[in-house]
Amino acid sequence: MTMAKLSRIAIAFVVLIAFDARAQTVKQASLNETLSPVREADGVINRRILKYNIRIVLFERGESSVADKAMWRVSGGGKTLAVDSIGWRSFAPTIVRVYGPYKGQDNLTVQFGSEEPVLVAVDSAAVGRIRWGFGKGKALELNVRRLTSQASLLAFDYNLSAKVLEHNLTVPNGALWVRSLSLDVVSNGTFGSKDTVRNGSQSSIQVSAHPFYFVGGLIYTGQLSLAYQMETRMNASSNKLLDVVNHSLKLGLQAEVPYSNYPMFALHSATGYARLAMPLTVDVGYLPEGQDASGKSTSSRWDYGVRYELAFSPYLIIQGEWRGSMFGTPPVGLPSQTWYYSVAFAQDLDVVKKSLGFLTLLLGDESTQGKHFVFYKISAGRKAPAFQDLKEQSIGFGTYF
Amino acid sequence: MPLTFNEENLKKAFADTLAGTNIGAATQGPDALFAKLVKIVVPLDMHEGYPSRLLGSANQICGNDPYGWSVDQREPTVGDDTTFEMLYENWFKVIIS
Repeated sequence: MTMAKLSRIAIAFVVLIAFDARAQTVKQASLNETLSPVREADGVINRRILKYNIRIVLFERGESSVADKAMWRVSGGGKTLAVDSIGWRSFAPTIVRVYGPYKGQDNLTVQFGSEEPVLVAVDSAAVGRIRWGFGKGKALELNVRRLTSQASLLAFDYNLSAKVLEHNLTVPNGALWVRSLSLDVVSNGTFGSKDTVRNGSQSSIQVSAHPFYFVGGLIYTGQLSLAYQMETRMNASSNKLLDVVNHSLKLGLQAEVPYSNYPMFALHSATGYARLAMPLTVDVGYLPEGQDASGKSTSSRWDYGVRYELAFSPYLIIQGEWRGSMFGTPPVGLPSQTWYYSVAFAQDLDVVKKSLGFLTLLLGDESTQGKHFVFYKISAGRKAPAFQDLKEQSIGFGTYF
Repeated sequence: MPLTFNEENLKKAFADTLAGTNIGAATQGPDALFAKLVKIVVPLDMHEGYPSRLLGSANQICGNDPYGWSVDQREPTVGDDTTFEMLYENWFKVIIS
């Protein structure tokens, strides 16, 4: 076979593929849920209903005939199903919604004109269906701090979280709804030189419910969790860094306080500083009696705390935290109640680079706005799980603070 | 009646949706935010729930007066390189009807 013949066959093949692609209007179709407002007689919206439709993504063509419901045919379970209406908007010309009684239907197909029917995928994100998604919300953040009192000593803080599984629960119809359940792995802690920082870590696997509430035009979230938690701290006598001092169940509640971020929200509205205005966050946790690494019983404990941020600008972000712990039976050497606080003053590294030109030479001129921070942190008191009574001042660099 | 679908109303609704998640800067309009990456604006503690916050806010803002629009129950995917403009074009405009 000559090269000319081969070329003609190849061209014919390409034309055939192109022709075939043009002949199909529907690129993909999936069962979809849409929350639609219902206006009452007085014209006011006071409820919203969940409608089911087939969401169709078209090839890059916006023919007006796609809005004609007579052009669409839907089948399921060996029967032809009704097409109630078509949703098609010029601002999203490649999306068509075919509305009808498709709730709970499997093995749906949709057909445009005389084209080949297309199988409708069941949307795994649909509410009411079991949707398990792996690896969402994974994050690992690190800080390195140098203690101002002993300049040669460094401390490392880390914060790790990952969703293992997630299941969507409800559609937000009112002002309060539980969005999802999830199985998470979380860990945080501090490592540094012996006797100079609160060496310790808390790691847990937890099942969490995530409520959302809409108050005063803004959204707030919370978390209710049941965890199995392991705590380690440095054993100064044996120099063991990861000495397991407690493993137990933990019941936790965390909530954002509505309206508490209004001042920052108003400031950001006025200045245009683009950073989420963090609400005051409160948390309470109860740990029943557990065990340490040697099998000895450990005391039950309440942990509680508040955290707040005042993000005035990239030049000044202040974060404050206060935490307390209360033991059922205090361990030897510890009071029955402990407290801890920290205040961190941070600047976005991006604005520091702009102020100090030599840093641009060292770190490059690519914008890192909002990603890295330099900070000065003051902390004092006893904090779980180390409960080491320290006053610290440190300067640091990190991806959180 | 639902508010007319046009670029001006859609952008205003998007700004209101973003503001509903607690980004005050969005009340100035979304254009100033468009070039910014989502993950540099949202603190670590809020990264995890941000797609849910966005969908919840879209439901509350767009599903009520003055907009009165329908909202598909789809959360956006937010990656390291996602900008607010990408959210507007690839998520917000597609879930509203």
